[in-house]
Amino acid sequence: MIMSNWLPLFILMTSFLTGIAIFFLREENHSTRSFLNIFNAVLKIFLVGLLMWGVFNGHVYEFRFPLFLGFDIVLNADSLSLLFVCLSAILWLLTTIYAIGYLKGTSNQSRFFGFFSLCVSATTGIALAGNLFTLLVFYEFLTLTTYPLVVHKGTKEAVKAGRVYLMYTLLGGAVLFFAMVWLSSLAGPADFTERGILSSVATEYHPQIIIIFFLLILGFGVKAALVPLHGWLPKAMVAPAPVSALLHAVAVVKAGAFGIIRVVYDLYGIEFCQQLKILQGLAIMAAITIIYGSIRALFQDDLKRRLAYSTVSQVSYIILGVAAIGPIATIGGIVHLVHQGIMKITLFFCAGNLAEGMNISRISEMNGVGRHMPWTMGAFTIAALGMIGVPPMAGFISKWYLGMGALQSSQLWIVLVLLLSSLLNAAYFLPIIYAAWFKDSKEVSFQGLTTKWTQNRRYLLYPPLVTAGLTLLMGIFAGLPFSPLGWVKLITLREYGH
Amino acid sequence: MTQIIASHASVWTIMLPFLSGVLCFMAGRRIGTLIGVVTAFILTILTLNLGVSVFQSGPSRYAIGGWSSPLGIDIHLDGLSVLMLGFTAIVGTCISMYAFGYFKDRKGLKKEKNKHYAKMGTYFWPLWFFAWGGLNVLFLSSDIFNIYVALEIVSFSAIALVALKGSVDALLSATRYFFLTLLGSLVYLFGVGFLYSAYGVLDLGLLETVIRPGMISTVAITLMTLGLIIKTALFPIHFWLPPAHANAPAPVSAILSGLVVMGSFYLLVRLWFETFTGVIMPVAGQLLGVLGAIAILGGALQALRQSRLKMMLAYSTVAQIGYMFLLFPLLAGNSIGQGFAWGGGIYFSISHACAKAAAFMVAGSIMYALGHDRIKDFRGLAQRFPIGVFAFALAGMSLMGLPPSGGFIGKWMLLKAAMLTGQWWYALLIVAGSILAACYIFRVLEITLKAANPGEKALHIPLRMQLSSLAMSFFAILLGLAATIPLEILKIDSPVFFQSMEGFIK
Repeated sequence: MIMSNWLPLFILMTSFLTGIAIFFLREENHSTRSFLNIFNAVLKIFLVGLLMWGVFNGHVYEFRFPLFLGFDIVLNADSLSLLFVCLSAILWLLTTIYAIGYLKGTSNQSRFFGFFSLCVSATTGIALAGNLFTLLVFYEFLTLTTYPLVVHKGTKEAVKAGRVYLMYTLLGGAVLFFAMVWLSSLAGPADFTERGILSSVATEYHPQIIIIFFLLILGFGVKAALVPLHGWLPKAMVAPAPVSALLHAVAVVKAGAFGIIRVVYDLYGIEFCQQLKILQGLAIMAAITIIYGSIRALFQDDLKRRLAYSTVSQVSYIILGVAAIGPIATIGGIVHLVHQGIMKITLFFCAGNLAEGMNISRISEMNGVGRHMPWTMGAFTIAALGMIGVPPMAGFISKWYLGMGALQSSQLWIVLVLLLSSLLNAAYFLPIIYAAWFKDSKEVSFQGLTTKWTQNRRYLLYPPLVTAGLTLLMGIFAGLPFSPLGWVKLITLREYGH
Repeated sequence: MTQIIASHASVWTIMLPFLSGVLCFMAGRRIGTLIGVVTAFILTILTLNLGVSVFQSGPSRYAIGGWSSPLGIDIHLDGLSVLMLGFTAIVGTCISMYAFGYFKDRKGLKKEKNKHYAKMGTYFWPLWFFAWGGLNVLFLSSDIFNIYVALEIVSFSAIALVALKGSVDALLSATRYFFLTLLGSLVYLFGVGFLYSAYGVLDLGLLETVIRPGMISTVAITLMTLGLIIKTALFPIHFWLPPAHANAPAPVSAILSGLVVMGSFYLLVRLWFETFTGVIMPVAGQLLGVLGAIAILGGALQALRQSRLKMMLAYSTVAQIGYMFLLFPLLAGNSIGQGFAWGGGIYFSISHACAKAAAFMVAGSIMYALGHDRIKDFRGLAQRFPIGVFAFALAGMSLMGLPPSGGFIGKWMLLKAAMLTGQWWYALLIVAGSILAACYIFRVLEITLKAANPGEKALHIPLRMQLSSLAMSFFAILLGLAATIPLEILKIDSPVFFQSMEGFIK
């Protein structure tokens, strides 16, 4: 029993200690580093599986460490945190494999992989955080550990992007800090509980509670890239491809979205939010972000920037699902946390492969690349179709539930937003797919793939193929109990309490 | 039994540094260094011992030589003084280890230069132990005149330490420091004189029972506060601090910014909230708060404008001193949130000691290697001195107040106190100051992460220096993880009531 309470901490430590150990490795010590990375990533998946099994059988895992004057570091595993931990554990393994291939022959690898592991442990901490205080601790930790990754290349552009990134995230963190202390002076150190705990606060403090809500959203919204707080995300694209992949799929933007989910469901509680009438504002913010991100994506020629704006738009589906009241929309939103992660990481892997294999970073150069890199483009196509919401890909499931939820709560405008956004998604993804497979590259004669690509092909190709496969499987087998959808239904059941 | 051990240990924490100081002076550099390092460790063990005994058997008083006050001088041990002693010992030990490497002969340097360092090393150790001893007297003594003597010992050793380098800059800043700190001591002494003439006692505890509101008390308190403000370098009398701290050798900068500042701040807090509690007017606390607020913003903005790392850190000290002074408006005249204000202010001062000492040590290492501390020429440092840059980043986390670090806990508590007492402007100020701190810290880190200029020469930094700065910065982080221990110690015989930590409404 005592051991089981330590399990969340062990899971956190698998990546944290790996990061620390890697800092001490010599730069040339590639094999040890790779072994440590992959061994611990696999170990983590195993431990998460153990945790999942326990939670499914009704075990309660809680690690509590008193910090000061009643504020505790709490790590616990509920169904929602498991969803996120699971996602981050699996994607850590895949991204690590990818990064090993991607970074071969470059300098500062120990620093890179060290911070990479720390960044994953920060994400794990966010997922497992049992109260707002712990969440803040790991949220700031995430900022600090991703910064060296963003500026990893050390070029002028990278440093500049890093500065923008810090400016946004540290300001967001400061707002969050302020809001949390305010909240704690009203309600004490609040542990997350299903269906929320703040409804017990006396009515005369409700105006303050509402202000705090929007401050919290503002703080988390920076990382979730809610418009107009999204400015850092396209700039951060200068980071190496594995970093962008991780940033967009699990680490940073998801941390923000996850924070918002926690605040709405486990701090305020969905019923209390309804009572305060604060979700409407959130829904409108999310809708604006969705449309704005898609429109901006349409006009980018740089592939990674287009994907970045697509992320801005897609992450807000999660928030929209949270804000559109009703269990079905909730399912759609939360399941998109996983679906978007898997799909987006595939797209970024593929974009990285194109850059590595053929030195292509612009969409206008992509004519006919499908012929030279069929597997990569195949994975890209599946993920892109999923993003648009074509069945049977995973993205379809999310959008279906979101739409049904909106209809259920008779908010027709949300359905309209979804339709418009899907159209826009199609408008910016389909031309890429078309160009890659069906257009001929006239202007440039094909020079052959780079040697780096041919040497590291396995590392760079398997991860996107796996995630593309998952995109398909998650869509096709969405009905099974252990699919993300099945798990999210369990979460929703608990949050709504019926 | 523990009482007896504690009392002996407390006398030894005062005696030992002075003894070792004299011994170091007589023994010369080589043996002096060894004596110094050993003494530092013994002092740490002694204070640890004291801490444990206070933790187990509560606060104690000890009359030196059996002469109790008002005739003799009492040693007073409570949570606050043990905490201060303890952190002085921890920071002091790290600094000693660092100095051990710093003043050694440097490979690749000209002979005359090495001679210069050797000479500095000879005088460093005695002066440093006199300062340490003075600080220990300050923390333990319960007699306001005796405290004056301690303040003078600390100040004069500190002045000599600043002048150690012998360069024109160093001498000029030491002279300025000398005049200002002397002024501070005199003003303080005036205050003591007033109190003695009115009440005829010097013991803090006795004074607390007899002091009454009135003209004389007000004048005395004002004078003593003014004197200590000058010594702590609160805005607007902060101008002496940056040159003095920046021009001194790195271990000295760490001592000054980390410990000496904490000493006079400690005394001010002790006087205000234990001895003078009944006499202080809340408006005075507000006044100090306003000065602190200006210091936070002004110091940070100045830090942003500096081109040299040590100068930047010195201005950062000015800003962080401002944070410490927020304790006064947050605590004065309020009952709610007292524990948070008190705990926050003290906690902030000890974590600042650790973080700033670490940062100055790293700055010293960089100067050691590169021969300069121009921030714009730090390109590629992260690759060449990863340990140093890492230590700087950790210390920076605490200075910015990012979790997990001591600075974060301190700021959280201060912020909470500001909210509980409804003083919103201070809450906003605390957050704004953190953002400014982040700006100046990351300004340095950013450059170190840039790709290096090829072919730049640098000396190899001794591992001892690197590790002691790293250890110091770990303490700054540890304070954010194991906060219960210092806070529990602080609760012992604390003048304020640590209320339950729940929100006060629910």
